[in-house]
Amino acid sequence: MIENIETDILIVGSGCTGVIAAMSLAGSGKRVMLLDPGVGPENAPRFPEEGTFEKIRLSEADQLKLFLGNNGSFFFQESLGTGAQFTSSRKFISEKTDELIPYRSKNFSPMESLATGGLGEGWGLGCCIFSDAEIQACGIIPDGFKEHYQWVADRIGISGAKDDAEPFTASALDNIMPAFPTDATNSRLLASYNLRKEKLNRNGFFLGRPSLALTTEKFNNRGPYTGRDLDFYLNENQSAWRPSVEIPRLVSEKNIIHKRGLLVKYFHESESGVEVFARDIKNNTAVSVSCQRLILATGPLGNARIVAATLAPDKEIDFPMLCNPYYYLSFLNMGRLGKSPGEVKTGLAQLSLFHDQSATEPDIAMASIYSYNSLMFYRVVKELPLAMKNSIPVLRSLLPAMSIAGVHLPADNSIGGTMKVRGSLSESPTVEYNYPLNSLIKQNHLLRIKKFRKAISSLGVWPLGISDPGMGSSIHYAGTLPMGKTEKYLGIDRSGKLAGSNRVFVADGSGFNYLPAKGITFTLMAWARKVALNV
Amino acid sequence: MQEKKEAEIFLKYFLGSHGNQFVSVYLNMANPFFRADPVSSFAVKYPFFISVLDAGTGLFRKDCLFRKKLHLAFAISECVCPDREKFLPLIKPGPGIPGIVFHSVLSFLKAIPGGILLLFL
Ligand SMILES: Cc1cc2nc3c(=O)[nH]c(=O)nc-3n(C[C@H](O)[C@H](O)[C@H](O)COP(=O)(O)OP(=O)(O)OC[C@H]3O[C@@H](n4cnc5c(N)ncnc54)[C@H](O)[C@@H]3O)c2cc1C
Repeated sequence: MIENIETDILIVGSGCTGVIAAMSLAGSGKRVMLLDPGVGPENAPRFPEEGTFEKIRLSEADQLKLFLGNNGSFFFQESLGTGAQFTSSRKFISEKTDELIPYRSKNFSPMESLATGGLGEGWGLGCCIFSDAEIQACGIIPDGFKEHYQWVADRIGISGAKDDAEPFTASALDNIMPAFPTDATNSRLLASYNLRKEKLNRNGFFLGRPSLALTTEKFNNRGPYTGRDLDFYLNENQSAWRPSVEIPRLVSEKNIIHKRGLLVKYFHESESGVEVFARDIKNNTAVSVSCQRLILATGPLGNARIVAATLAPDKEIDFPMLCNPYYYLSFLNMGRLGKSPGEVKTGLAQLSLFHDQSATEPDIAMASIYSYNSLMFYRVVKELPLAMKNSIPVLRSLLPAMSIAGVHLPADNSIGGTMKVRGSLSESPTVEYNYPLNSLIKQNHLLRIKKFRKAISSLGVWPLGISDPGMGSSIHYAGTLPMGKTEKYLGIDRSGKLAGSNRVFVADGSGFNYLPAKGITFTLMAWARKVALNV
Repeated sequence: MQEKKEAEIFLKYFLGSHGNQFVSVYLNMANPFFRADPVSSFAVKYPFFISVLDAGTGLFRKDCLFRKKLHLAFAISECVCPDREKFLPLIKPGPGIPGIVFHSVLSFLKAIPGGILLLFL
């Protein structure tokens, strides 16, 4: 038996893009429904609302549950790479994906989410504005696009600084709150940059504070960030903008219906509307939703699954796919060895370093610089070439002196990343990713990473190493349904409409033909706003 | 039986006698590691050598099963050890360069007999 639901506009996916689309449509007079599989943090350990990381570490009785999860389930996640930020409280973000959206690949490990709020429940909050060249390379018409950035910024609340990073971040927008202070180690880096910046700037490097979707002052009904160093465990004062901050308000104040628990499989468009077919993930029953307009916001990989099952069931389709290459660099600030980390501690990005080698091309690369805070020693101890027992005092000295740079490089279609999908109306689609990096491309990546290493080392820190967590770990994906000036099968047009359709729109990064290295999410949100206005 | 002994010995290495209380915790969590391996078996038979094996595998066999098991015991002890300050640089700052050198040299010295032992295991 199929349960049937009706609405005017159905938004599939409640991540950053789905929620911005819903916010844009609230008050339009239409019945709007936001739908997702609804995986949530219900079973995650609850962190105390009071106290700092240290206080909780010293005073809370059940540390095992808080930090290793029930039965140590959390311990077995990858401790570095993409997993580093996925603590016991955030594990839910990627839960059930192995079971419900499995894939095969030898060279690509994407991270997807079936959670309410999607990947946005763990995103690092970094907001960047794309240059006109970057916007154009994505396929978007730049005229008027900046207004959407401002609209989003006014709703999510952004903090940042007027400094050398400003041209690349969102700090140039209006109504930006002051940035949260940097810790002792990163303050030294910034001071050192200010002394030597002429040479760095000549080589195309610009360092400054990132702009973050983080309130540092009272903002609507959210409070300021206080820096209790629990960024990976809870969202104090709702200072970090995450979809889960917005959804309850959309439901209670804006009459948006939030339907949890459904995994959409495919849709059928007719002259009178769209019928969307889903499965209830708890009891596996079929549910269909009839709507006038459908907005897909499940992310580029999720949308490819749905579109494949809809347009070509039981046939294999090769979707193109983009993903930013991602590397980690770590550095030691020798002057800080063995020192106390100081009272300012945060797990969020503290500095952003941009490499703009040509000033006109869209090939800017970006490093976000962090300190190792609010994470346990056990996550890094196995990387040291020492006896674990001897590592404890060593880590206590090293970690407060360490800076970690996560470097994103831009991605275009030249690599030929693909997502092969065989969609099905009755079963789960089979998916195989292929993201081949030949040695020349890899060499070029490493050359650029080494430039970053040289630039950061020139600020008086010692480079420790480069690590490559593998393709997929940037968690920035795009390009499965490329955007074109004209309609192209398995693509979208410049208003976000799916080719061959009159009623189906795509609000996430599926249409982007280029993936700039600067954090993509703020632009995705501006795009979602633009698409929602066209619906 | 072997697993229980392993749990007792690994936890004792990090936690002393306090470790006994957490044997069942280790056993609950260590399921994916329940396979016999020569290094762990040796460590269970001759617990005196666990420290040199810890150093030796850190340098020469980072991905071996013994080190994975020891890593789990480390994670448990970080959560439950009575003196948690030693994992919190804000409360107990690290020993600085002399301390880093001392502990690293000590570990490398232990890694020499550890490495030789590993040749036979
Ligand atoms: C740790 C981390 C740090 C990050 N840091 C940054 C950063 O600093 N800056 C930045 O720009 N970006 C960052 N990102 C990336 C950012 O999170 C994503 O770009 C962004 O969240 C994508 O939003 P989305 O709405 O397109 O998709 P998603 O967040 O993937 O949301 C997809 C939604 O669709 C739902 N869904 C999926 N499949 C189905 C289906 N079949 N049926 C129904 N619903 C479905 C999901 O449950 C979810 O609600 C980070 C990501 C992570 C994980």
